[in-house]
Amino acid sequence: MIIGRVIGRAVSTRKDEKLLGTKLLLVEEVDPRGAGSGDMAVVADHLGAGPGDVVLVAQGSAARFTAQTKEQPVDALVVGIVDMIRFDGRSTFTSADGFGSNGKGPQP
Amino acid sequence: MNLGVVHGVVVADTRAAELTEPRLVLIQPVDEVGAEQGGAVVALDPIVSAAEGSLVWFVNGSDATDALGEPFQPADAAVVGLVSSIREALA
Repeated sequence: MIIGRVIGRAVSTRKDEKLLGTKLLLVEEVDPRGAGSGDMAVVADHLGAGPGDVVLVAQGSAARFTAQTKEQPVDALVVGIVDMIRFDGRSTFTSADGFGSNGKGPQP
Repeated sequence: MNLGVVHGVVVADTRAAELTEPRLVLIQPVDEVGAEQGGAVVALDPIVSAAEGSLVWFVNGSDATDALGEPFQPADAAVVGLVSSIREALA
């Protein structure tokens, strides 16, 4: 899985009918310290993630192994909303403080 | 299969109901001499419980789903072994 930051929502009114009712998020991949990679993906979400949330994204056929996505044409799914990341012995993210101490981005 | 070094853990309590394995580790993929290959990935670690700093091998994609067994979990990476040594094949 990759770690991503939710940066928006994709709205689609004409879509495969199996996707009706499924929220699609725009997610940017980030590294464990919160630096954005510039890579974006449209990711299905059934957990209620919103803008600013840091999420765990499963890609490929793994995205279909949930009750909600079993029959859906999806290849990326939010499978977790991240509460905490520990990397190289220190906490780099908490849901309360974000990445780094100010919550605005990675520490230098 | 890929080699990687365990650098940390991720905690995500709000998760897909089918994602039952509690342990999520952060892995930096490396090559056979330890050079980093691409960005860090998050993998389930149901078998090894690898400590930070450990060299492990892991699988991606549907192989990870298979490695975890049924009922299938929505995960695309899983640690499947702890590497104890690497030897170059004799020419």
